[in-house]
Amino acid sequence: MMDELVSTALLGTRGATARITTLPDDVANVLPAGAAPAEEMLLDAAAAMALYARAGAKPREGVLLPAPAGADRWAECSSGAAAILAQVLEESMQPLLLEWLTLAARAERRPPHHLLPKLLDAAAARRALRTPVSAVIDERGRWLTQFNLKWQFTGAGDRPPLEQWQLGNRQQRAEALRAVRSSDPELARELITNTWGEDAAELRAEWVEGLLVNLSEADEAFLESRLDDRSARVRAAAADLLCRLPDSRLVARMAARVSPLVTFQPGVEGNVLKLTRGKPASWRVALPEAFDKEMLRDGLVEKPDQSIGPKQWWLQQMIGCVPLDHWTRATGAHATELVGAAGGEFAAVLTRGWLAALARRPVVAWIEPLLAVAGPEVCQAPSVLQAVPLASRHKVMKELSGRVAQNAHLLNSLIEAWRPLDQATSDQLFESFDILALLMSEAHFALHASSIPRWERALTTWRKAAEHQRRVDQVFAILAMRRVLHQEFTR
Amino acid sequence: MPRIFTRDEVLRIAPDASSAKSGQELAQIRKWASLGADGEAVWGECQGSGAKPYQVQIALAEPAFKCSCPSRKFPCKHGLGLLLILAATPEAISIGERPAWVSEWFAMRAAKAAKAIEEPKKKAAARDPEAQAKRRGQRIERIRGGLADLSAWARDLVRSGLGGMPSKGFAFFDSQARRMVDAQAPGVARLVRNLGSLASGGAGWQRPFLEQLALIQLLTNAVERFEGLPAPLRADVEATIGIATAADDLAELPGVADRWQAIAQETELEERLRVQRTWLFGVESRRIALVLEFAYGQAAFASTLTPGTVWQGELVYYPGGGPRAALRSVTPTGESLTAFAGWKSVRDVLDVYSAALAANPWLEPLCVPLQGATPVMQGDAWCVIDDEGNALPVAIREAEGFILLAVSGGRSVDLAATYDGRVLRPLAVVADRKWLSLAPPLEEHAR
Repeated sequence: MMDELVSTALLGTRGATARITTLPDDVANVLPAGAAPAEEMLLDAAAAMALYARAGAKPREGVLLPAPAGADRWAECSSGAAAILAQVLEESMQPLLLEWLTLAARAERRPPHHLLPKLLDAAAARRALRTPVSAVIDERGRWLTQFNLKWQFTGAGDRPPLEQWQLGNRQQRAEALRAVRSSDPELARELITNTWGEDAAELRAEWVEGLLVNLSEADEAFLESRLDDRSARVRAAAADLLCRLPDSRLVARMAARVSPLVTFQPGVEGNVLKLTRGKPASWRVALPEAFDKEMLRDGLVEKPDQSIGPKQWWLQQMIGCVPLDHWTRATGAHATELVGAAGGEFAAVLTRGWLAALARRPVVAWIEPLLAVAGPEVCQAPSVLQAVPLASRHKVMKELSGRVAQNAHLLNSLIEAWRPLDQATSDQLFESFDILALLMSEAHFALHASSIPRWERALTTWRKAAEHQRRVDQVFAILAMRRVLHQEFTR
Repeated sequence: MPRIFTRDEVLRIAPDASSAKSGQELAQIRKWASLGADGEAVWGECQGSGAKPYQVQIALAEPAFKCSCPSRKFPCKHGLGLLLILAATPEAISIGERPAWVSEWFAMRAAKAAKAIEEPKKKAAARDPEAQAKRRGQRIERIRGGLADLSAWARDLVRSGLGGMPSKGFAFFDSQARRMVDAQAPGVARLVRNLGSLASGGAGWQRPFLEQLALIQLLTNAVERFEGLPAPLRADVEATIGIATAADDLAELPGVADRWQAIAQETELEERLRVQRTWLFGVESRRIALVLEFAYGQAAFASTLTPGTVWQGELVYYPGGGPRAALRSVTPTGESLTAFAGWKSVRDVLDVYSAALAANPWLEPLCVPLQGATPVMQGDAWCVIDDEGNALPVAIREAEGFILLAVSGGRSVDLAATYDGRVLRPLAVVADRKWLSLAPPLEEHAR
C-alpha cells in the first residue's frame, strides 16, 4: 500500500507505466478516474493514503499497565519549600540542596512528585547526595527509579560491588572498593591482592590509597610488603599509610633514624640566689649524612622539591613519618613546650615535619601550638581542621582571622570542615572575621539557621555594601532562601 | 485575599531567562519602599538606580502589568519580582487601600475594555463586503499562478525520483519556499520549508516526505478548483495558504460563549518571532480552540492567557472547521484547573480527530484533552493507555516523559496532548488535581 507508493516515488515514475494496484477499495474509489500522468496519480494516491491512515488509526491493544506506586508515607512539603527546591535544582546550588534534604527528612516531608526526576538526576551525578536523596523520595521515588538505570543507586538495582570490581571500569572499581572497604576491610584487601598481578602500577597505587578507609594494624603486613613494589607510586602510597599506623615497622624504623638526630634539651630555670641564668628549652638537630636504599624503600624522596637543602629535606620527611605522640612520650614535655623550643636554622624543618605528621594523624594537643608558629599552613589538611574540638574552634578562628585577607580559601576550608556549623561556632565567625571576609566566603551557606538574621542585619547596615552590590545581593538571596526554608519546614 | 501565583507560574510569564533571574533578585522585601494589595491588584514601589522609585502595579486576574520603569521587556523584572514576593511571602504584603496611581490605571483599563467591545461593531457597520470579496478573488488568482508552478515542481520531483532529497540541502527547498512568499502564500511556504526539514530528518524520512509532498499537491489541486469548493473548505484552504482573516470579518461572526479551560500552552521561536499557541477547551460546547499569538523579540503577547486556569466569555472561531479562534470577551475566573473536561477514551479522541481531518485534510496537530490516561514507558517507547485498555503511542522528550511518569505513579491522569494521526505529544498533565506543563522550554526550540 503506502510502502509501494513510497518505493515507486523514491525511484521516480519516469518510464513507469503500471497503475497502482494495491490500494484499499475505500481509497481507490475517491481517486480521480481516467488517465493522468503517473506522477500525478501517485501523488493523488499518496495524499489519499496518508489521510486514510491518519483518520483510520487504530489504538494499540494489549499494552501492559505498570504496577502502580504504593502510597507515600510522608505528606508533600509546602509549596514554598517546593518552590525553593525547584530553584535549587535548576541552578544546582549543591549546599542548599543538602540543607533542603536534611530539613525535609527531619520534618518527614517529601518533595512534590514532578521534581523527583531532577532530584534523582542530581543524586546520580553526585555521590554525596545519594543517601540524603534516597531518604526523602518516599514510595513514589523508589517506584520511579525502576525506569531509569542511572537512578538505581538506591538499593536493589545496584550491581553487587564484587561483580563491579571484576567487570567495572576504573571509576566503578574504585567505587566498589570503597563500598567493600567500609563494610568489610579484610575482603577489600583480598580483592586488591587477587588482581595485583594484572593491574597496572597506576591502578595498584590507587587501590592502596583506597585502604585509607578503615585503616588498621591488620593492613600492616600487606602494606609493608608493598614497599618492595617496582612502582615508586605504589611504594609512596604504602609508606604514607604505614606512617599513619603508630605501631608499624616503618614508623619504628623512622623513629630509630630520627631519634639520634633530633634531641630535646629541656629548659633550666634560672636561680637568682645562685646567680645562674635560666636556659630556655631547645632542640639539638643533626642532619642525616647520606640517602640510602632503606630510606628509599620507606618512601622517602631523595630530591627536594622546594628551596631546601637535600639533607634538611630528608630529615623533614622523616619527622613527618613519626607520629607526634612519639615526641611527647620520648621527652615527657607538653606539645606547647616542644613546639616553642623549635628555633634557629632548623626551626622550619621541625615545624614542617610536624605539620606533615599532624595531617597524617591529627593530635589535638599539637594543633594550637603549631597554629601559633605556622599559622594557616596548619589548616591546609581538612583532617586537621576536622580534628579541632568544638571548644578550641574559636582559638583557631582567632589565629586565622588576621590572615584570611591574603588567603581567602582558608576561611572556606574551615567552614567546609566544620559543617554543619553549630550556633556557637557561627557566632564566633562574626567575632573573628570582618564583614568583607565573611561576605567573600561561603559562610551564607553554612551559618547556623539562628545566625541568619544576624548576618542579614550586619550586611544591611554595612557601610561598604554599595561597593559590593552584586555579591551582597547574591548573599541576601541565599540567606532569604535559607530563612524561608527553615520556616517552611518548622511550621 | 489576592490571587497568588506560584513561583513556576510567575517564571513562565517571564519574557526571557535574564528577566526571570533579575526578577528573582528583586524578590526581596528590602528592595521595596512600599508594598500593598487588595483582592484584584498588587502594587509596590521598587527602588531602582534613580531617585524616584519605580511604581509597579499588577492586575492579578489576567495578570496585567504596568511599571514606570523604562524597560521595554514585558513584563519587566519589577513586575516579576513583585509577583514572586507575593508567591513566596504573601504575609509581607499588607492588604489595604489602593493609592491614586493604582486606581487611575484600573479606571483607564475599564474604559479601554468597554471601548474594545464597541469599536469592532462600529467598524463592521461601515465596511463594504463586495469590494472585499473582489480583493480576495484577485488574491486567489495571483496565488493560483504561484501554486501551479509549485505543482509542476512537485510532479517533477516524483517523476525523477525522491531518492536524492536528503542531499539537496536547505537552500533547495528554501528557494522554492521564497517563491511561495512572493506569490503571497506564506502558509504554503511553511509547508515547503517543512519538506526540507523532513528530508534531513534521518532514517525513515521517506514516507513523511512523500505524504507532505502529496498534501501540498492536494492543496494546489484545491486552489485550482477553489470556486467550486464548499464554503467551509474554502475557508480552510485560505487559512492553509496563509490568507489572514481580517479582524473586521471576525467581528461579524457569532461568538461562542463558554467556560474555557486553558489546557495547554506552547511557545516556539521562528526567527525572532515568538509564536504562542494556547489550547482551550469549552466545558459546555466541548469544542477545542487554538489561540495563536505572536510577539517580536522581547515584546509581550497581547493576551495573558495563563494555562492551567479557567476563563469565561466569548471566543470567535475563524471561518472553516478548524480550532483556530480569537478572544472576544474572555476574562479569567481566577480558578485553577483541577481536572480536564474532555474525552474519556482513546477511541473518542480518534473519532474527534478523524472528523476534523475529514473536514480539513491539511489539519495541523490537534490538542485533545484525554481523561483517565495512564502513561507507560517500555524501553525507549512511550504510550498512554485509557481505562478501556486502548493505547496510543506518545512522543515525548525524556525529561518531560519522566515528569509525566512521576506525577502519574502508574495511575491514570488527565493529559492534554497534540495528536497528528500517529502519535500524541503531551503538552500538559493534571495529576492529584494539579495542572503541570509538559511543553519543552522555549530555548529548546531555538534553531
